Amino acid sequence: MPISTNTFLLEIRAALGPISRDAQQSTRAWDLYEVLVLGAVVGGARRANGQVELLDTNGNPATRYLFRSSPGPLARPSQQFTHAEIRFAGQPALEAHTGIWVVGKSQLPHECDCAVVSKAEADAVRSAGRTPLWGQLLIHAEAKYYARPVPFGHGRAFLGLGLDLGWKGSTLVINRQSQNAMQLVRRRKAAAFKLTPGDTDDMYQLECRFQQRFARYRRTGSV
Amino acid sequence: MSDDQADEIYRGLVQILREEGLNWIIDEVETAIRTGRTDTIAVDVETRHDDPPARRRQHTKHLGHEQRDWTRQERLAILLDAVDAAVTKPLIMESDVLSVFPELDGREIVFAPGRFAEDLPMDVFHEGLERAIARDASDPTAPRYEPYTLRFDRRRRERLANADRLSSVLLSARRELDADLD
Repeated sequence: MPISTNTFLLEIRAALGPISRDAQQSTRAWDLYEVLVLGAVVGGARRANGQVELLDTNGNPATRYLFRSSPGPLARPSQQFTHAEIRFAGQPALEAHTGIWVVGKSQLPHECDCAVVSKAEADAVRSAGRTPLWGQLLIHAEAKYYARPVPFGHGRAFLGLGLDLGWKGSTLVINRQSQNAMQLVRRRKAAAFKLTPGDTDDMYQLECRFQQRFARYRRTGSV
Repeated sequence: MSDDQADEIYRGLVQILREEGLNWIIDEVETAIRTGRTDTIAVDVETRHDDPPARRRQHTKHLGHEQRDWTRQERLAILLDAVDAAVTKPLIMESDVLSVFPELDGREIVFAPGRFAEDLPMDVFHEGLERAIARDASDPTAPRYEPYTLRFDRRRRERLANADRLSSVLLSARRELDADLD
């Protein structure tokens, strides 16, 4: 039965009212989406039989879960941010972080929405106060959460980022279908995935992408 | 759905979003609508060969592109999808985060700036700055890099129920539009 305009708008008003306050800050969805992508990385590691633990900056089990709302350094962070430590039997440990800078081949810093680096590199970074290097990345993922259709330019920007980071597990994750951006990225040495909240199949596909990277690491111990 | 009804619902929904302080959703949608839509078309290019021994015509397929405005139904579809992505999906996303990090159940997660703006490398600083100045500085809903907290508590279930309700209302209109757009 065709919808009635008045009924539809009344229903929208009634349903939106109690939850509109949560949506007034657009950045909340962007920030939480980065944590969700970190969750897909963790899920991929678990699928590859990895052990995962959430830790604070000092390497202690996290008791307060704190994530970055804007990019920052891995070394000397402004707060005790939470990261995931990932271990595979017989191989050196890895660390997964959100919103950190990584130095690319150009020697310029790039913000990585989610990055997996070797723990040895992360320890060296913390000790020296420097920024992690692209060569020590196992995975870098860009998380793009949009209310409107995803601008094509994000696909182009992501290719530049992947190129400067040596195509190290380069993965673009978008919350909605973006035919052009995905077609552009998939023709290069990178992957593009749709991850719509609530879609378990999207999550499964993305976890499998990361699982492949972790499975190779588990075999070779090489990032 | 007729052009007039799509227009009427679009305007009514924009009005509701303004009243609820969700102007940023309207800004995002209107930016996308102003850009318009690029359609890809197949172009048949004919080349004539008049030289002997064989006079013939050769046809090759090429891609062509056309820019056009969104139709009224497409504009409404963009707005409905935007409300879904901005309002209902973030609440569903909280459940997704809980399923991968069950240790967060009953706890809170806090978001805080990675670094103070003056310490940021210039390219990253400008990106943040662009986001900030893209909106009216006097707008209380404008994004700010200040700490905030999400609580994974009992109240979350109530919000999820409301999100489901809103999602089903949006879906009813989206289905009718999809039938027209197909």
